[in-house]
Amino acid sequence: MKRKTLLGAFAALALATAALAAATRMTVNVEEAKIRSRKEFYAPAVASVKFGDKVEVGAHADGWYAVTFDGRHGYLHESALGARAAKASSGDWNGSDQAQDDEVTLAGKGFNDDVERSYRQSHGALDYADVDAMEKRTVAEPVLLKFMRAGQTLPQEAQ
Amino acid sequence: MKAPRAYAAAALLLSTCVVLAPLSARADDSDDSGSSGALFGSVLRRAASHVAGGAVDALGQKAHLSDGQIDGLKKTGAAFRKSAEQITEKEEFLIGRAVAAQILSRYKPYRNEAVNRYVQAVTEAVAMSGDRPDIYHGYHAQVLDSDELNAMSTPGGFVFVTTGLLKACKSEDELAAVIAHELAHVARKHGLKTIKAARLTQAFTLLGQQAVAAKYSDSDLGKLTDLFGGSVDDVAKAVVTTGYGRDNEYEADRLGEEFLQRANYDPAALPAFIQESNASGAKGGMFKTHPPAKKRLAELSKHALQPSADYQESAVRQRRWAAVLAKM
Repeated sequence: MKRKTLLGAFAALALATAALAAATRMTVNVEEAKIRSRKEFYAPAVASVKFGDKVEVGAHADGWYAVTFDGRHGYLHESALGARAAKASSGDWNGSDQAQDDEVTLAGKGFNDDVERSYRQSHGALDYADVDAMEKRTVAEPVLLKFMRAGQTLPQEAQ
Repeated sequence: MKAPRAYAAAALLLSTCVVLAPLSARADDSDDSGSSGALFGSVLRRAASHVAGGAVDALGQKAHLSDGQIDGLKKTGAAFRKSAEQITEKEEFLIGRAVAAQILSRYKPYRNEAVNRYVQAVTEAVAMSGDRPDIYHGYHAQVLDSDELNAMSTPGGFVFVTTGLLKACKSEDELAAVIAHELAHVARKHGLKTIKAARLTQAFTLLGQQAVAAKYSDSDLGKLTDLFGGSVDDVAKAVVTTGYGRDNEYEADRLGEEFLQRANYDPAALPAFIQESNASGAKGGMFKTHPPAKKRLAELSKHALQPSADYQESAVRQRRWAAVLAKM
């Protein structure tokens, strides 16, 4: 019985500590995202973050996390964050070398660029050129906000 | 394994987790799926890597594990990925690219850049108010040169509408409604969920076995390419031919209306478009991949949304919509 109790305590402590740790730091899992001054996408950006960047995470509300990155504070939408193993975008990685090596090794795994290359070789008829062209099509933020303002879909407080 | 040995192994593993907790606090980690299994998998990976570096257990004993045991721990951690929810953003993007390539091999892209840019702007405006505004490589829209009434989306945020559909829309709000429905599919990962479970299990198992290798062997790359291709085919079949299923379509309608409301478009534009397109008598395209219009409308009527407080009818929206149609 004592052994079971001890194991239970170990398990609870390990999971609670890991969960607490996860709440303090999270990894950006999209190529690029902006930290905003308010919890709105049309709010001014205070910083840009890239895939693999780590942000200090605070309160979470309405789909946004209060975050700190590189000494700057703001809000990052939850859809930009995950904590799956991600390759660091710079040498600024605070884990141990062993942990970093392991994370980096795992980050490149899965359906990756090598797999896509191999797939394209075996599916020569597929038209990736038009997909690449499609990906280049974006609307710059000021242009998008102007489009929304003109069409009266931008919220009134942002006008 | 006898019970005492099993307890001892579990205790070593858990105590290693405790030892590693401060490390975890520095180097982050929860899983984006938020599942305890994935979180524990992450802790296991750390445990494996740290044990490999010569950690001590909670009793102060140096952990002496064989290479095989260490490898086993690493495999266990990597193999914790089980479901489509745990496909990474980058993997989703690559699957979406391949499905997009399949769509663009079946449909001719419409080359009018002004029209494409307009659809891109509406897509980004709606996505901004959706449930998944940030996505790995952003949202990208493309008009397809086809008289068929159709709109499609792929994992990773690729959105397609046909010229036939554009001509059938009466307003920018109706176009936004169609796009909102598609973005709801992306947000809820309906495409990824069409990948056969057995295929994913096979892929994750293979990946788990390769967790410590620096690069895929030719043989494994071949196997993974086959599994990737199969996954792409599963999604493409749903997107183009069979649809995501009745419940997912109703969910996309419901959620699409919410996105519209938040984006300050008229939520009623979605049922209006469904009604009008059905009345047009058009066949094929979206009609073969979606439930009958009558049922969709009945579902939507159960929770009809009012426009947001910021919603405004806009002469500018109507004018620019007319201008886009005039360019086609």
